Amino acid sequence: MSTSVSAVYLHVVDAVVSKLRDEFINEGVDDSVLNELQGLWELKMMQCGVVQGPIERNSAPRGSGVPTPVHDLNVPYEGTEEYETPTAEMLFPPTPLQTPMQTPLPVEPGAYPYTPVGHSEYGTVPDTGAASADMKAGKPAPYMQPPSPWMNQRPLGVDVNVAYEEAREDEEGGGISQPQPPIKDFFMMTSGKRKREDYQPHILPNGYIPQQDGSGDSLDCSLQEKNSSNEAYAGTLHNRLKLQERKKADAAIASIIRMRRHSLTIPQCDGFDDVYDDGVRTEDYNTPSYYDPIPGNEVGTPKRTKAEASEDEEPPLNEDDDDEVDDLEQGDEEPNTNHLVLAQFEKVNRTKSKWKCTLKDGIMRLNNKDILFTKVSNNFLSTFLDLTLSIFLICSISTNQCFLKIQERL
Amino acid sequence: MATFELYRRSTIGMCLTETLDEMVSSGTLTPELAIQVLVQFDKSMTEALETQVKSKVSIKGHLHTYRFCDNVWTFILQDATFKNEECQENVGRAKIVACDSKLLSQ
Repeated sequence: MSTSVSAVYLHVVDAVVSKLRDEFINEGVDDSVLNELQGLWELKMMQCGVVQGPIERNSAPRGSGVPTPVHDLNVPYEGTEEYETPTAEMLFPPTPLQTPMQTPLPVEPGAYPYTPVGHSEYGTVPDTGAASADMKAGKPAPYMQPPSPWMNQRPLGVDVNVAYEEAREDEEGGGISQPQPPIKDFFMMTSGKRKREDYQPHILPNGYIPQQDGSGDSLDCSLQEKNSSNEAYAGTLHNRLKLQERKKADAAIASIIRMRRHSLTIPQCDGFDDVYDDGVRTEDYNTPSYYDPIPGNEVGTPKRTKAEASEDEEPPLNEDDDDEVDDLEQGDEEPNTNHLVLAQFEKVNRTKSKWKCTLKDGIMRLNNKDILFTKVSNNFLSTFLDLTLSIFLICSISTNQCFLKIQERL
Repeated sequence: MATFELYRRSTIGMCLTETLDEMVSSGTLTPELAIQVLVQFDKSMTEALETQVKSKVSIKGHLHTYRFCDNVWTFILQDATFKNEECQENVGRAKIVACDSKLLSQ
């Protein structure tokens, strides 16, 4: 007596539900939960097309052996009241919910092997669920953080300006060689953001906010000197030195750029500039100029990407050398999921290139169809490798023979 | 008693897993109960396949990959043909996962 796939599945559902009823009662769970589970399960199977609806509980096994491959979605699902489309209330009953970050029961991290297959978003099931339920109930999302306290420190910018001017006025009174007041404050205060608070500049009466980030730029500096007559002597000595260094650096960079542009020498094609010392090439890896190649107009090499420049000293990683055939196993190229057979094996044998497997009690999902079997027999699985190897050998032997004949003739 | 969690990857198993996921997420069901449901499903599925199903199938194809690890055989076939008493299915690529049947009887 052959039973259809649909009937077998329904039988499994019934068996599971009936055997769990006692368990649920022992756990103190209402019977309605079990019914809901059954209803949802069967609904999903109908949506997948493995079970034909409507479900008749006490009917005889169906005569048709071939189940409907695809559920007709054009036909609205008409079920009994018990199995009508679950509403939000059914799915999310108004049970008292725990706070989002607490799990309903204390669960040890290792003792929770319930890992949903293929549902990575359910990684922390109680938390996200409760959180989502909270959202559904209209509460604000629990993961929204309150505005961080540092945001309230915005007005500090204004305050910083105020204090800075005071410090400068102090400095002005004490001369250049008295950097102590800022340092003193530095040590006294405990806050991490000390640098700005040290100086605490003040908005000058003319509206000019002095620069805080080191030595002033040349234009700004001159402006600064011109505009503020109340300011101290053009920055401290420290700022002046910084300014001079910057000017020197700018000049050096400008000269290098000029050299590059007007270089009339024949461009070197065989690597970097060579510095010969006693006939031996010395390579200086400290100076950036030795790294930068001459712009590639003359050489005609492809543009070097940043990655290539950074990996200049390291051998290429050869990441693309993998055989693409190996990816066959990983990607799902077809729109249907992998045609999958799940079974138990009794024997697996191989003779040369032929494999024989004795499988039993299996479920096959092929071309969107579910097929159940109790046994697999008479299977011949041959490997490609041996075939191609033999063909190659035959070809090589034949070519060798041709060569021999040619040699003989010569 | 040990069960094969193999059948949870089937259509019926995935439907059950999704249902349990939703119910646990909504707090209707505890994770422990959900695990018990899955274990019972494993047992019932295995028993149903032994008792309720009578059909036999033959498989032919080119074996692309074979793997045996942790007492599980995994085959990947190309251009496979699955023949049943009622129908025949041809697929370009199929995966067979098989557990050792002797482990259940131990």
